[in-house]
Amino acid sequence: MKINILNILLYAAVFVILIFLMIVFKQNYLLFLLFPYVLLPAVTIPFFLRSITRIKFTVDAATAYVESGNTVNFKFLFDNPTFCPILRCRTEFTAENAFYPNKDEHILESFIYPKKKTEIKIPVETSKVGMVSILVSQIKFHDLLGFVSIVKEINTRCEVPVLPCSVTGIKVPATPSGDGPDEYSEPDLRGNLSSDVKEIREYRPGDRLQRIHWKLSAKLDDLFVKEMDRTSVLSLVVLPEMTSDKIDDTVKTLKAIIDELCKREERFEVCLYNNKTCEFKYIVIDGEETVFDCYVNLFYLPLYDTPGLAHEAYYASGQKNGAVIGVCGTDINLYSEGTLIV
Amino acid sequence: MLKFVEKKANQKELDRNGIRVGEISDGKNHHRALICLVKGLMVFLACYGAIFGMIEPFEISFNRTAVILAILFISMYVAFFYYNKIIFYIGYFILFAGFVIGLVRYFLYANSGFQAIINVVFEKYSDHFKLLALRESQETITNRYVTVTIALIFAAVFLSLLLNITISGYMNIIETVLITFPLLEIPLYIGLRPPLFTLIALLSCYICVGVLQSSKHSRMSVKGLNYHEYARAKFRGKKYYAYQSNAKLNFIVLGASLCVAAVICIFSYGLYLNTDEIPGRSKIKENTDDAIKTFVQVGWTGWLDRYSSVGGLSNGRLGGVSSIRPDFETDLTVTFAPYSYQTVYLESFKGSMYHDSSWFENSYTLDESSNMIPVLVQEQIDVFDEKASMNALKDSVSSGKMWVENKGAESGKLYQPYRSLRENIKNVTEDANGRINVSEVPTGTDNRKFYGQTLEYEFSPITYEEYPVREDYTSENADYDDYVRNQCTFVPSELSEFLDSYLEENDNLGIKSPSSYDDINDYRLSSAKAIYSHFLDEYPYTMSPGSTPQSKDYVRYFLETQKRGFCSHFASSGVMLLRELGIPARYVEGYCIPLALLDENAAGVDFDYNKWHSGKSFVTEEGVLTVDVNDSYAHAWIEIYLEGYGFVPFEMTPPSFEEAATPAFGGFGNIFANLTLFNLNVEGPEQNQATNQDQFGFLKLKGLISSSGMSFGPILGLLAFILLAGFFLIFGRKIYEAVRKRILYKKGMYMDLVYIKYNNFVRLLVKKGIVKPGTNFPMDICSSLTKYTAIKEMYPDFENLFKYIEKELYSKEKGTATEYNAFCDGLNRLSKMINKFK
Repeated sequence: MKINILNILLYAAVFVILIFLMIVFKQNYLLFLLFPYVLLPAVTIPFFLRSITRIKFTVDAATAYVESGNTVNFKFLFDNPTFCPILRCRTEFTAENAFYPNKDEHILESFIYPKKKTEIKIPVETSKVGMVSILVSQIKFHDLLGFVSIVKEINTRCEVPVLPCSVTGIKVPATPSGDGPDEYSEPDLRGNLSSDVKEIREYRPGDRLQRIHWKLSAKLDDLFVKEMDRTSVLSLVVLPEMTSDKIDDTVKTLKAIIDELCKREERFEVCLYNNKTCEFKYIVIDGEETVFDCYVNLFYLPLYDTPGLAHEAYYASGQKNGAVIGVCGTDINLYSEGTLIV
Repeated sequence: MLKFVEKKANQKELDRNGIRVGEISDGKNHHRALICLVKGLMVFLACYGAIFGMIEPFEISFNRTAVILAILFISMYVAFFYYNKIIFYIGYFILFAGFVIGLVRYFLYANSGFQAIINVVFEKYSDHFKLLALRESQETITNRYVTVTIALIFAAVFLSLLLNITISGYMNIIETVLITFPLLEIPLYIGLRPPLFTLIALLSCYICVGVLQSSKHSRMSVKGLNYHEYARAKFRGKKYYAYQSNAKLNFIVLGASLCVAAVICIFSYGLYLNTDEIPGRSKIKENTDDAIKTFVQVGWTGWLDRYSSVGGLSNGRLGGVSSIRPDFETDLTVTFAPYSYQTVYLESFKGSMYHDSSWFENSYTLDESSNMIPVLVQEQIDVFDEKASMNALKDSVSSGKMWVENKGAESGKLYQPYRSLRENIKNVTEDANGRINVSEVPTGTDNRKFYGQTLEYEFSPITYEEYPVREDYTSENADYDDYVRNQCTFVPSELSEFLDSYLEENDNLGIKSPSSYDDINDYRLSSAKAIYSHFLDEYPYTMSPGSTPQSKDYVRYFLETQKRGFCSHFASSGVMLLRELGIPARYVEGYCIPLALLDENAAGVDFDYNKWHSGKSFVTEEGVLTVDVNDSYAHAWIEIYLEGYGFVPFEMTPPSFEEAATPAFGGFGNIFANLTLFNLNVEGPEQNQATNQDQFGFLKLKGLISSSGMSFGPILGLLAFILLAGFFLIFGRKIYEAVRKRILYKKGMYMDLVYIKYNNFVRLLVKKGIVKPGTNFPMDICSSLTKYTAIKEMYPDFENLFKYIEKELYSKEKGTATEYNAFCDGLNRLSKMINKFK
């Protein structure tokens, strides 16, 4: 609890002035003013202290993700179950896009209604992709007269990924390979499916008939398919370069490639390079969830300045061979076994 | 423009950070009308509490319903100024116009109403302080019920306007209290208690405003283009968002404040009604009381007095008070046996040396550095004065006795009759049995310490007309001779020049040369009489002549400019004119006992007359009288040195023909009257002169306006105010912009400067029809200009200008001063070319 000496002194000074005037000017009615003057802090401060212990704060976002150019709506929610309103509440927070860190500190002066939830919307406009987050570091509550203030350390973060919006006009080159056949037919080829069942899921239009688990489907009276493990890596890898100056374009181009490859129903995976840990992470894109996962993982990666670093590291560390689509800004390069094709 | 700037800055932030915190809100529709309504209620409570709290205790009759409705309407009206900018400007204009029209239409009613309120308040104050004299303002219309109602409505407009700024605009408790509480203090100061409901209204407003202010919110800026629900500010690199106002919250706080105020007022009302004064004395309270008395009796100009204006002696200080304000309290109680119908003078202060608009008692000489060095102290002068007069009366057989008790006159002074000897002063005391003892004052005791006691003086009761001629009298002391011949004829050189010309202009006041008189004393007396006659004809007596500016000489200002005054004006000027004529004279202050005072206030005392007077008497009835002399009998006169007789008193002040009350116009309370009345009935000497010459017909015009029912002064003042306000609005902004540009340039913030210049340039292009409104981007404008071959021919590389603008506004690179200067030159060149386009 912080006591605001200056405010108390000012208040006391007015009190002393009133007493002085009362004595000097012989005006006893001033006692009438002194009465509420003494009474006010004695009433407000205990109520305030009680309220503070019962107020709950949460920060939330209205949507799980947005496309760039749209606004992320964060919500600060103060739940005050007491009768005492808090007229001055100071919330300190930072808002940033992980790709474009800024040191701006934001301070929100607001109020909290009594006996209800007070919701404050913090709209964050976006123009670039990345992980947008709000970190509420602390909340300072002031009593009605400004005598005491209580700081509550919050450190609550809320993140919302800003995904790229659909981009047109980017030409994705034709890839050399799609899904391979089953291992039984061409067992040596890379990217083939193994006979091991990874999981059983409901049938989706487009699934191969040979993958239907007939027995189970008959039992449960619904179609189920077997999801097979793969015997080896897929033949197509998309490798985005995390260069800081082109990251926005890179992600947008990546989005265009993913959309295009999905449209072509090609199986591929996105390789994410973390230059700090020198690790590669592969994400197989086989649905919307994986695409979303891919972006989220990508947004947490550190950026670097050297162009082509991921590409060099990819081949230097002996990662999977096959077709690789390198993405850097709006440039798309297709490599096969390390050789630039397009 | 502001919107565009904001947009630009927002875009920049978005480009830099990829994000930007937008318009924060609590997701609810905040009806501004509701906020204005709640604030209007606050304004109403404050205005109602102040006006009714002030007026009700004085029991003035007026239409309460009309005033309450007017306050409510005006409070709501002004509170809605903050709804948005259009309403703000239109609303102010309508209010201002309405106020002026109303004032012109009802000024006589409003003015009379204010005068009525002032009169009632002054009456109550006069009763409280037991003042005998009172200023009274003139009420042109006597129906107080109507006039006070109208005056209060005007007051409500003015007060609501102020309170709306302090409450709706700033939500500031100190300003609110400063505006309203002084009004409440008017009755409270004299123990009159405003009614309970006015206190509840005012107290609830104070609590509400105080709490909302301490929450650092609830200010409400006028809704304009750059309005945000959460006001934005940037301080020390941090971005602040603070909610401005919230109707629901304001309503909750106002409701709670009303409840708290009601509880407090109801429970402590008994305490509040108690009018017993807190015991003890307070110097500050006494001074404040004095100031209030001065205001009630003299007006606010009394506060500018350089010393007390309460009647009494000023001890040679001149021109520092605008009015004399007698308190009519007894200063001296004098007991003596009257011997003549002439005024009896009790001398106390003798001014010998006039310097810097003041009289000094001792005889002084001025050295080169203008320092005054005393050459003859007052005690010595007094001794020689007394010797001179006693020598002259050596053969006189009349003798008298006088008791003077100092009850309220200045301490440390003697108030002694003429031709009395200090050596013979005795102390009169009364024992427990009422027996009176007269004792010799022990040798070496300072007589002036007998304050509050009675002193007995022996004197020769004779008037100068009856002085026996003693041609053989000569002073025994060369210093005293020098004092009389040189010091008492000394006139400061600057004043001397003026007096010469003054006498010349006035034909020497009809005074003949000394050679035409056989006796020099005749010359001196006839000169004094001529000056007196001149004053009687030309200079009216008044107790409120106004103070003398500190830079002006008191005598010159009186003779030349003021041309009216009270006793010290006449006495000082008379002495100076006599001295200019070479006649030794000096200035005296003391108390006078005229026959009228004896007639009205004297009481007979059962003393043996023969012990109080012996010798010649000019009165028919013999007896000893005691009389209370109050401060209105404090006086200033002159003494002329007559050869053979010493200094003899001479009355230089013409009789007063003015009424006891001071003029109705001129005080602080009458400012409104001075603003609105057709004719001001105080006409200074300068105005008198002005009427003689109206070369440019101003007075004719003034008369025309006056006859049309409008007042000249206020209209001129209003026009001047509007002109001044207009000047500051137009040029103030330009000056501000120029200074801002200079600062930006010095700080190297070229981006902002480029933006300002570019924006002006775009406006020019839009005005000339070269680009369409809304075209803002530099390269768009550049491509528009490329169509004009004339520009291309005269300024082939003008595209560089736009490249520079684009670089400065949209990139992170900072330009240099050289680049900026080149840009300025280029843009000026381009602007000149475009200006020539038709």
